[in-house]
Amino acid sequence: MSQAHISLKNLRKTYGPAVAVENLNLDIEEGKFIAIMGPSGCGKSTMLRMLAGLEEASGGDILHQGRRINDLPIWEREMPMVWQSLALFPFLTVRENVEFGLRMNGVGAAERKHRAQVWLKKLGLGEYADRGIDQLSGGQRQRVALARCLVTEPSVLLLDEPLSALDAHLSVQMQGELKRLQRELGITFIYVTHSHSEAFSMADTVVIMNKGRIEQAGSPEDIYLRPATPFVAEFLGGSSIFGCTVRTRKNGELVLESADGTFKCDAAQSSGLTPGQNVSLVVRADQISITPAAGWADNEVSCRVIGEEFVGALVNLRLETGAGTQITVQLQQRDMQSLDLETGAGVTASWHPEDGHIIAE
Amino acid sequence: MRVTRTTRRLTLAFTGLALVFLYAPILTNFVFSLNSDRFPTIPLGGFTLEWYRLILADALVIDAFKNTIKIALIVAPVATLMGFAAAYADYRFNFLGKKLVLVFALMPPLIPLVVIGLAMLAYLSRIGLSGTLPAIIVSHIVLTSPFAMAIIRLRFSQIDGDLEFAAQNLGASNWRAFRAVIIPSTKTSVLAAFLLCMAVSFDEYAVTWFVGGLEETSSVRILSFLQSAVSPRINAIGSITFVTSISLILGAQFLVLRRLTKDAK
Repeated sequence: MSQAHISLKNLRKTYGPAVAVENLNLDIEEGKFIAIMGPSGCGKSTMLRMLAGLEEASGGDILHQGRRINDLPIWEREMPMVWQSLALFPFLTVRENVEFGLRMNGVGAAERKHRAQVWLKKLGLGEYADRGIDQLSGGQRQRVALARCLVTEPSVLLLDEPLSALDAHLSVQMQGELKRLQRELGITFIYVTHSHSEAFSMADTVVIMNKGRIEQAGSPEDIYLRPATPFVAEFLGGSSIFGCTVRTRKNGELVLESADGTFKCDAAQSSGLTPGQNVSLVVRADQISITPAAGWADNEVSCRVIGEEFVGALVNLRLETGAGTQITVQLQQRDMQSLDLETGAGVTASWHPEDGHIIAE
Repeated sequence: MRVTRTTRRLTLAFTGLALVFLYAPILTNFVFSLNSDRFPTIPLGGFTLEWYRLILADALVIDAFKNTIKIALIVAPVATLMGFAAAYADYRFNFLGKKLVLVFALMPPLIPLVVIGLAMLAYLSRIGLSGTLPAIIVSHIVLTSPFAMAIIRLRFSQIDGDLEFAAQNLGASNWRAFRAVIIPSTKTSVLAAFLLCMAVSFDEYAVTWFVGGLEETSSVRILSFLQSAVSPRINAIGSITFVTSISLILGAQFLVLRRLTKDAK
């Protein structure tokens, strides 16, 4: 097995009695785009800051190409970071900002200028080289921050919610650029974000963190289709979660019991489940159908409409069951119109047995 | 709300009046320092530089000025450095009891001068320093360093907290990051603090009078003049002191305001 580019082994960070990061284990392959996601306070930024050397690990190891770097000072880690605040030097010009890392590493003036120019051009900033930072737009500053890091030709780039200050349109555009850059350069990107769309559109591997621990790490598809914990399913949103108990398992079918009734489920994914065990049944919003009356499908729940939100051509319909479970259903705009539902109306939500995803607890 | 012409006029008149009350005495002082009459009366006598010539020939006054300058030239750098160190510590570090330390560091200007003067005198005489220039210098440092700290802290509060780390992240060691980021970001406010410390040291007389003994600064000299006799020389020495202080303060103001407007852009 090839050695991981960056490895975290039992990494811990505590502030007095408060635990920010708890026994984190993660191997990051070289040249991959890793997105680390989680709600605020989940430890994702602390983890990144420990990588950069801004925070000292309370325990465990950080390995960079097999070498333990816990005790290296910040300036020797060679892991440039794109900051959430960008942290551009306001008293320097764009070019001087980009040259900064080279200057600190003792690169001569002529070469500095040349390399900075190459990167400024590459990021479409060639004509802004001699401007001050305060004369740039948000997107341009973002690029300066990137250029300032990439000009040092690092093998890994850390990004701490770099797009959070941009408006939605610009953010999407930058996502494309970041992904393209990462592919071209083949360097490892470690990208911390709380935005699903950023993580899922760019990353090769998504790591979902909660309360200082990794809940799940895997490809975006894997995480989307097979959330490992109820937290992941809930955090990603767009799914309905039923707390169930396993009742029986027969004929390739699993029968679950919940406060909302009895559900059938494909047994293929259920190896190791025993009757009486508590599980979460997760059904994605796009796999649930709506009918005015019951009696059409295997898994049915009668619900009340509590709200709807329009997302372009799609509608997210919010339902609540008699037992109080929240259900989200995604419908096409025109289906929604033909159903002609009002808030408070009674409907039946249903899904196929093979569409339910089971998470053992 | 619509501002009527009357309100506007009243505002102007009121502002004008306030300014007159503030600056008329100083202006009078200046005018009479150039007046040839022995007593400040109107109509004015002829124009003269006699009073300036007199004080510049007065050894006591010259000594006082020399002391003032000596003291200010030591107090300003030391107080600025201390203020800077405190402000930087506040910007960069979090530690237990930080708030308390800040409160104590910023407190001296809030304590009545008489109290500081007495306390300083009691303490300095115990260690055998009272009545010396070092006594005045130490007291002035106590009084001025909080001003330096306040001005420099204001600047630090506008600096992105990640900036220094960003420099380190790009390969700058502690000291290089400090030189590359902190010094260029704070230099104008440090200069402003320096000027303000000088101005405060120049003007201070209460504590100086307590701890200085026979050593006098120009402001204490003015006080002594006043106690002995009314002389137009006071106007002359007062004018010189005023011009010096106001130049220092305006210089400091200019630096601080220029920084603020530049950042606000």
